[in-house]
Amino acid sequence: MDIGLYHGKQYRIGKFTDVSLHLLSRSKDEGFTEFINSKGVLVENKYIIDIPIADLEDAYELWHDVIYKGNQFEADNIETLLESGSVDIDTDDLDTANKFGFKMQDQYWYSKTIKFKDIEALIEIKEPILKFEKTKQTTTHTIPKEEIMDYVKYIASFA
Amino acid sequence: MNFIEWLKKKQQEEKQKQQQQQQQEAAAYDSIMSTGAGSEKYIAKKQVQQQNNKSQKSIIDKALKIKDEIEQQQKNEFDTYDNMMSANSELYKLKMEKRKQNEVIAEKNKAILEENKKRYQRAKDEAKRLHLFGDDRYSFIQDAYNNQTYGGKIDEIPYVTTADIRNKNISNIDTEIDTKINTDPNANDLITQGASINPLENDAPTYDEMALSTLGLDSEDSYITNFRDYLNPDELRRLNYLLGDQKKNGVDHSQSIKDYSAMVINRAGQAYEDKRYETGDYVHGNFYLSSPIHGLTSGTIGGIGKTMKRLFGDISPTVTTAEEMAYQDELNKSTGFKKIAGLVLYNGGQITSSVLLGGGYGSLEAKAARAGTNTMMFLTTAGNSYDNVIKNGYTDREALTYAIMDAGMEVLLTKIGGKLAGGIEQLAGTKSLLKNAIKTTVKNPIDQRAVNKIINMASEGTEEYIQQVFNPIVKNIALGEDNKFKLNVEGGLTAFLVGFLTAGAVNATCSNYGLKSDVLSYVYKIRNPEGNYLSADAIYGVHSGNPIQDNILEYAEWIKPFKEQGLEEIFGRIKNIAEVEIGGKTYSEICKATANMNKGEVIDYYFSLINSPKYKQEVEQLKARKEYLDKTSDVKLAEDKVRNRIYDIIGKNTGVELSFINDANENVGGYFDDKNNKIVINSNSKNPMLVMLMREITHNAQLSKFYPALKDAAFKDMENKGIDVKAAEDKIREDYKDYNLSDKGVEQEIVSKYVGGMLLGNEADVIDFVLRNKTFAGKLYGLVSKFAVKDKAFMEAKNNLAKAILAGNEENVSSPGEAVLQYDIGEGIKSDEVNTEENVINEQNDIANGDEVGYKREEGENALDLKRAESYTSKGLLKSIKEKGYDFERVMRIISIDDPAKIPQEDKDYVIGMMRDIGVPKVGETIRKIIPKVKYKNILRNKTIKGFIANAEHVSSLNIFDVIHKALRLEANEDFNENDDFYIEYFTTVTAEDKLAIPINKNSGQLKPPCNGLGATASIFGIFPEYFMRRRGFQDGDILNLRDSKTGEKTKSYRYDRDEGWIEE
Repeated sequence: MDIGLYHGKQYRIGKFTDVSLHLLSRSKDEGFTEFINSKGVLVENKYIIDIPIADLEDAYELWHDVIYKGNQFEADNIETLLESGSVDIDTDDLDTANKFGFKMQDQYWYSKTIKFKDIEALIEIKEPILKFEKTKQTTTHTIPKEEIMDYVKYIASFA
Repeated sequence: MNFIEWLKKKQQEEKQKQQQQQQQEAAAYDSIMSTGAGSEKYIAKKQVQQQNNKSQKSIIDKALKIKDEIEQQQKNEFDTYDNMMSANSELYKLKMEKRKQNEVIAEKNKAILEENKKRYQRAKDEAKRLHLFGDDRYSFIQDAYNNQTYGGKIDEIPYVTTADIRNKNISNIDTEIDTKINTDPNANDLITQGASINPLENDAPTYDEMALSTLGLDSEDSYITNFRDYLNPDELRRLNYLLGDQKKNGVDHSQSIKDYSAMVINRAGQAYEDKRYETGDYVHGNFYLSSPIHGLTSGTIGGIGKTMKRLFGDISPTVTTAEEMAYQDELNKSTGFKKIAGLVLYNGGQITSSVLLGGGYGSLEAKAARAGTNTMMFLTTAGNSYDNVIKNGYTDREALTYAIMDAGMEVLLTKIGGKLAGGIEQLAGTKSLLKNAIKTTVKNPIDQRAVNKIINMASEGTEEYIQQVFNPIVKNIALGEDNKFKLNVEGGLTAFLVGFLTAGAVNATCSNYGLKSDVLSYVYKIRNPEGNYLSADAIYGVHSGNPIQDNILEYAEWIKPFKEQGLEEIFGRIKNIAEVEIGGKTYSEICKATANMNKGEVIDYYFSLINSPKYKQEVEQLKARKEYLDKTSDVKLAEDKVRNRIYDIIGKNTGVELSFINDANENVGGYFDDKNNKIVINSNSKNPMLVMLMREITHNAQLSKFYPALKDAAFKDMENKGIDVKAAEDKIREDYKDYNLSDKGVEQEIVSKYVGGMLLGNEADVIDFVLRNKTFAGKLYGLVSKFAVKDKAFMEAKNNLAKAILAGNEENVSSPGEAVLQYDIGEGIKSDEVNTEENVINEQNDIANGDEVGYKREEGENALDLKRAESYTSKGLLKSIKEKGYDFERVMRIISIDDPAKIPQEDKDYVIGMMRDIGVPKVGETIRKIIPKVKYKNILRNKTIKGFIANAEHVSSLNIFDVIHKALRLEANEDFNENDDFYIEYFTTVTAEDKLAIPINKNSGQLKPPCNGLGATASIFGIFPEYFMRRRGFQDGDILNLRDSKTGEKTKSYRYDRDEGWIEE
């Protein structure tokens, strides 16, 4: 998910060109207009604004890893924690896959579905994009176990 | 601590104090009594009494004090409690107030909703009204749309002015009121009374105020001349009479007063605009190039302005602005391309308002619904634009004009039809009104097609060009700014037009070369490894042979990140552009020719090119190409399917070169291209295999010497069956009119069609034919056998032929050996197919057992079959590895080994070297991933994807799930089930940010089949390079197709939109 900081607030980044992009919001913040989908239907609680890329205060792609049994794995879609209480994690290392009982997903790629209780921590990874790609560094932030579900709800709240 | 607890504590404290007091008294008494005697005792007793009295008083005092304290405390507690209750009460009150407020808000919302409903109804009514009563402006386009036949000359296009409409509509009202005034003896008195209450007599609004009121905006700026100056005294008099009559006599003229007031105001507004036009007090532009733009803006201003007024209840005829009058005047005087462009764009503006009103297509309800949506968009955009501009110090009039124009452009270009970023499609789509407008402006059907073709080429980004051109012009007109608009840079009008034109030429040329065609990628989207585009400006500059320093610097900077190999490719692409022909001129020549022209001359130059015969020819090619591109994926799949099937069956050893065409006419099966000595097959033909057989019947080297006999036999058979050969000839000539089929070609088509059909027909006909034509029966058998490997119909034909031949042989021979001789099939056919004695005997056994001939061949499916592997391997990849010096057979023999431990290192290095030479898919190339059915819901919900993925072209032969499963070794993933009724394929385009890797030597020494660590899947079905893609978000335009496992047919499709997610197509 691509996130943009605009007027001090974080929004999901939608379509973009070389010069401008769409920001999407659940609230009708200043300048945002109602979102009408490609079928011409007004979408409730979704608002959009088209802004010049130059107006962005920050932009990054958001990834998540989880700590499972002391090891760090890529997580597919943490929002599944809200629905099923579990999340898929992956590795491309055969030893690790064998050690932790991962299932072959593709050649050289193994996956496992783990429960929330088995997650030791969640790692938020922010990878700078657009004009910030060359000026900022990738940052990581560890979300402690007790805050994970609130954090996932926060992620799910993006329009 | 609550109050009760506090009280208990206090009581406990008091008890403790009393106990202490008693202990103190006893101690004092004992002390006195034990130390004295006699009076001393009395004294002591008194003292004790005094002491006691004192003590009691003190105790009473203390008790009273405590009592007071307790009471005070209680009072405090009660006060606190009261306060609390009071606070609760306040909170309750607040809550109730809030609830009331919410109710009021809800009521307001309800009222807004009702108002919106009314507004929507007004829009609907207005659409209906226009539809029913017509508006000459709209009906002109509507007629063109409905009839599709308007063929009048440009000068005959009816330009009905607003004044015409106005005069037509209200003349009766004037007469009606005048009659009343002339017959009413009290008319003058009533007129005087009416004048006293007529706001137009006393406080007439300004033009701005009237205009702003239509958008619900307030204005304190009244610098524009008061309307009163333009009010017509006669009209005021009539209005005053109606007002006076209503006031004094109570006659209800309310509706008439409303309508007539609107009309009077409108006339004044028009008078004001007329004066502006007469005095030249309007925005002037450079008409030569801005004409089409001015046309659109005028149309937009006029159309939308009128629409808005109508939607807000003013049903009077609307005002034609001075700018619009000037534009129409200029347009009528213009000729050639300028006029066409102006009209096209002008009508675009008109369409905008038509769409706002619910014009376009579909039921009236659908139109009205669309009107509501678009109106809302318009208002939102207009409001924002107005606010933005007004903040910068512009006047209301300027801001309003800008808002209307800007919002109009927004609606026109991006929101028409409710399709974000798809506006141009509605504007210029297949059935657009614009197309019909073109019909009115371009008489010659070929020219019409050319212009339509140009419009058809509109693709993503086109609206951006228009907007970029418009933005400064809109500001110039509305805000009086002096923005320069660059026409010779990317995004400018010239680039826009050149883009259109070169799109045609590039597509046409590419279709000749059989290249993938995407003009934008050729002209504008050439990116370097860092993802930066080379601007059209720089390309133009270099091609023109007269680059400015900026062009050279841009070129030099842009080219730096390339490696030598990449440079060659990129120069190749640029060279392709340079060699593209437009109307017989290469793009490079055009760039040079136009380098020193002014902008007008450039347009005229292009106009002359698109009117050249050469260009018409190119357009025809383009037409076919465009239709092909419109359904590229389906056609490609169909082509691949046909090609693979044929390759699979006949292999490549027959020496037959195949090519494919895409003709919608299914009756066109294909033809033999004598010039290039290859068989051309129509991918859309009903039975491409039959077509292939037909070509072979007439052109197969082994059969050719028998052709005269075959021809005679065929014609004789047709004659016996009463087939009208002449009619068949005519039909073939009609179907193949575009392919210059010679008389001989027609004859061959008839013969081959008849023989082919006969062979695939019923058994009796085949036997009958063979018994009469034994001389070439064996040849036919050999021919059919080539096709009978897997195709059931051909297997049956082969069986029938075999039976027929055997039946024929029984008449002459008795030993199988002689029968084999009869089967003399020819040298061109592979021995393992059919023509060995063993095979023939087997086939005879098959026939005897009632089995299909060739039935047992299926058993060898699990072994390496080089021919099959070659048929499944991408032809492009085959060519590429061959050019790089790799041997297909060796590679197949290596990668068909499952266990990498059994592959010698030398062989591993060989395949790895090949994979490294092939490299990872490049930016812009399409990649494809197969996803299991069980992931259907997940994939639609997820935002990212990763894992194994292949270059789409490399795996285009794999569409049947069973084959995909085996070829790509999907057993690696337990989520795939061989019995899945459908599978999912994901397509995306490689971006500069993607991280793709060739999985070489992963987990060295610890690989488990099917992982071989060589980069190419361990498969016996062909070479399928696969890549590991790091996780990445879905991109705009990504495709998800659901395909039927058995047929490979697409059953559902989704497209990813970064704003919306997956959208079902």
